[in-house]
Amino acid sequence: MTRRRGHRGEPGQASLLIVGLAFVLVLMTAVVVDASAAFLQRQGLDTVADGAALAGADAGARGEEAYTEGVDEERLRLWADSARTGVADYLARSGAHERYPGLTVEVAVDPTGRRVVVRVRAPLDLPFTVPGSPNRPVIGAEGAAVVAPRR
Amino acid sequence: MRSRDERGSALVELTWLGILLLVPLLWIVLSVFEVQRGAFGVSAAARSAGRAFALAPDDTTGRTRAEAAARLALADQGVTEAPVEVAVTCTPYPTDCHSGTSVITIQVRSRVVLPLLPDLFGGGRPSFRLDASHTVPIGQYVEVTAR
Repeated sequence: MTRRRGHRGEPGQASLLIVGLAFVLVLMTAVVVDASAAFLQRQGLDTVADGAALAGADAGARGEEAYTEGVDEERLRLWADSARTGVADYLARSGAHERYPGLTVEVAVDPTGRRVVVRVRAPLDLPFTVPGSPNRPVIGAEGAAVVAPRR
Repeated sequence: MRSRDERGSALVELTWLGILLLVPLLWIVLSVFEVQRGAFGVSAAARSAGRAFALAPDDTTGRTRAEAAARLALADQGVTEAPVEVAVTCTPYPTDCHSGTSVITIQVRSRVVLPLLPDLFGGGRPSFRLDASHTVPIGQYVEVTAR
């Protein structure tokens, strides 16, 4: 009798094992896909921040210091408002807002006025929802640039 | 009698479920990773190709260097056989990208062939198209050489 009962419980054990294993595998794949989607977005935003910082530094260097204090040998002075215009212009022209909906940008010029820092942030729609994953993840990236005169 | 019939059924279940469930799942995992590897590579390639092109002394050298940089970035991710297409467009001087105030846009396109799928269904092996772009300004303090 006891032997019989033991046999009755056996069929289905292997399938349970396999289905469970497959479920764990699917879950793990979803986590990895989500993580690499986030990484890809960061890589893309890094590129955007880099280009925006270059554009901002270029637009921010008005060269007005040439008339007042003389041009620095290593770094040109940068004006924050012009840098901001340059960054906004770059983002509009490169189509970053379409590629990353909800993109916000923060442009800051160093207190010394020689270096522009661009921080971009954009929300990410995760391809899969895994229990414990953030509801509305936001990815950020940072780029900085200076203008060095060549002689 | 019953207990005798059931003998070996676990093995059959294991085999069939394994084939029906785990093998397609494994293929999906492999394909997803292959495509993601390509996506990482293409996005890194666009960035480095853009930098390489902008830092080159002229357009012809720039194009060669941009392609080399793109290939290197893709090879870094282990994508060596995939076709790579590097397209360069410039505004406002389409023929002289290194002229002052020019803005260069580099677009890198590639294809990832899905693994373990031969020409079963005709029409070539199934592949996944990937592209990425990067925009680099040349700067206002560079001589405008375009006419």
